[in-house]
Amino acid sequence: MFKKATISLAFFTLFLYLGLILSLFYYFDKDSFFKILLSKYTLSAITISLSAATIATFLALLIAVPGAYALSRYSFFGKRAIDSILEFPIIVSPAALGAAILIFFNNPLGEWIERHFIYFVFAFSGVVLAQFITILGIAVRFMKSAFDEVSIEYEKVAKTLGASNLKVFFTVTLPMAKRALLASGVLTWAKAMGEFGATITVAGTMAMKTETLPVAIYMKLSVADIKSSVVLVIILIFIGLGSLFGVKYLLRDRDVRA
Amino acid sequence: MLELRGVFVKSGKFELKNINISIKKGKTHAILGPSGAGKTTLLESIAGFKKPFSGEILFEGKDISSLDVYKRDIGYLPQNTLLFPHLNVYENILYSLKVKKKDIRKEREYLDTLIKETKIDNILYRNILKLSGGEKQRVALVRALASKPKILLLDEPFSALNETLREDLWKLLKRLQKQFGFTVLIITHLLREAFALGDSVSVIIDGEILQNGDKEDVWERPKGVRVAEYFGIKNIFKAKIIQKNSKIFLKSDIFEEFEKEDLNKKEGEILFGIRSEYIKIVKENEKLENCFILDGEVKDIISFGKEFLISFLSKNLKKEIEIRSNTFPLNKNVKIAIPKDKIFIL
Repeated sequence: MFKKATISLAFFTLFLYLGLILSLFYYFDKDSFFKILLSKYTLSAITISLSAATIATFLALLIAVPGAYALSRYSFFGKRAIDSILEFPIIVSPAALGAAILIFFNNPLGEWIERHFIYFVFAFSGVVLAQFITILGIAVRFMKSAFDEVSIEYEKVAKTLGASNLKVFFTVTLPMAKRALLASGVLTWAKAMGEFGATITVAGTMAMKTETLPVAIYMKLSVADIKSSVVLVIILIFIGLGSLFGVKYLLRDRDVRA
Repeated sequence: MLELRGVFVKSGKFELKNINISIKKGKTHAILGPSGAGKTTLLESIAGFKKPFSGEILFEGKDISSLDVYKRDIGYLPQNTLLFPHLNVYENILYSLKVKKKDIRKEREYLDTLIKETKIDNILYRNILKLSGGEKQRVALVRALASKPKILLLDEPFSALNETLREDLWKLLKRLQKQFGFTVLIITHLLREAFALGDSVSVIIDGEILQNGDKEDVWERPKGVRVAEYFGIKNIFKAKIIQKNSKIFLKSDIFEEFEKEDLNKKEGEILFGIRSEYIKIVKENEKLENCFILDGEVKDIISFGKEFLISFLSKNLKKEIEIRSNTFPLNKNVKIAIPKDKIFIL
């Protein structure tokens, strides 16, 4: 009885999401699907989403990989504080995060940065920044888990074989954590692709300029364009599920160790 | 070659206290002790993973206590081999040569000999995950020796293997050492392993080296009750020291008066021991010299196939004597012989 009840609830999760996906096809129209998909507006939203998410993920990984390695391997002052703040973008509403970014650029330091370096508010760079801030903590958390899975004992052996810390990192730790790191990268990228709240707050809804796929969905719904919304949602789901299967593929047999 | 002088190491609440060990070039030194005794901490200090807070670790006369691990010329063989799973067998072997930027072509002959001697030539390009336990150990041994380290540190490398495989690897290690002349430091909790491989042995218990010396000496004359008990010696008895005409005699329930020259104490009581394998069951009409003969009865016998563990109780004794013998006592009442020269003072 207990077994059946728990399995039923597990299936409820599957049917809930599957049901939501399938319900989209109520408004699915083959002819208009390809027309909307290939329209300038949709292609622009896809391009902005893909490029912003990719740049934001790349920048986040530049910090997350070495930062996560430090958190995984070393003991240092402030480690617990850093570890605690990693979930900050998850517990804080994306809209609040976006508002905080916006307020920052209205401060003297933010204004100085925008004047001398790059303009973020209501610009493509703002999309990248909003996504970067949203995913950085998660990226570090994912990467740390990937490094935690590589036993420190392998690094010790590599050192006895004559490898310096840097060589150990590049010849042992990184290759051994490669698949988990790639999977973490894909998940981080998928999270950036789906980011909405911070992006719309910082970069606004400028069509063909700052409108990402999630923002485009919101805009189409706000004018009751259901058919276009469905197409955009399907594209986003396709990208999301593709990433998920990619991750599952990368992490297959990851428990096998020498 | 390698010398530890007054080394103290702290690892959490655990402490290694005043470690003094000297290992000669080309020889094997075994550090023997129960789990939690500090063997791994000691090995990690020598390898450079833990820094001693006092004392010196001298390698060929130079203090290496603050030298980075990768700059120490050591080979290291851990218990679970830790072969890199993203590299195949040959890539694992070449790892140290590559990171040290050594010319692999110049080392080819040496590597070929190592590979041939360890019989891994048929698995060179195999995935690490597809190796058996024995193969992994042989590959790990070759990997540790590939860049010709002067000293090989072994961290209980064979204890997870079955007896036959373990003995094969002992022989292999001895053969390679004879051929290439490297020095070995092995830590183990296995008595047989320590005495099979070590030219000298240290016994470590609770972070202290309780005995240090040639293996024959350590085997024949364990120092102190803790070492004797760790060696599984059950025959430990009390004796009284008696001084007569400037000579020292011992008196106990086992023997009447017995002159013992090499005794430091002049009065009081001491403990002495005797290994169970040196005690003999006296056959009928057999005459044994330089032995104490005791009458008594056999209480229990445990058979290990060819060997018997016999519990013997003499009339004068409260405590049973343990005997390891290849002969099965035919009668319950027997005589046993304890060789005088095998009695050691604890």
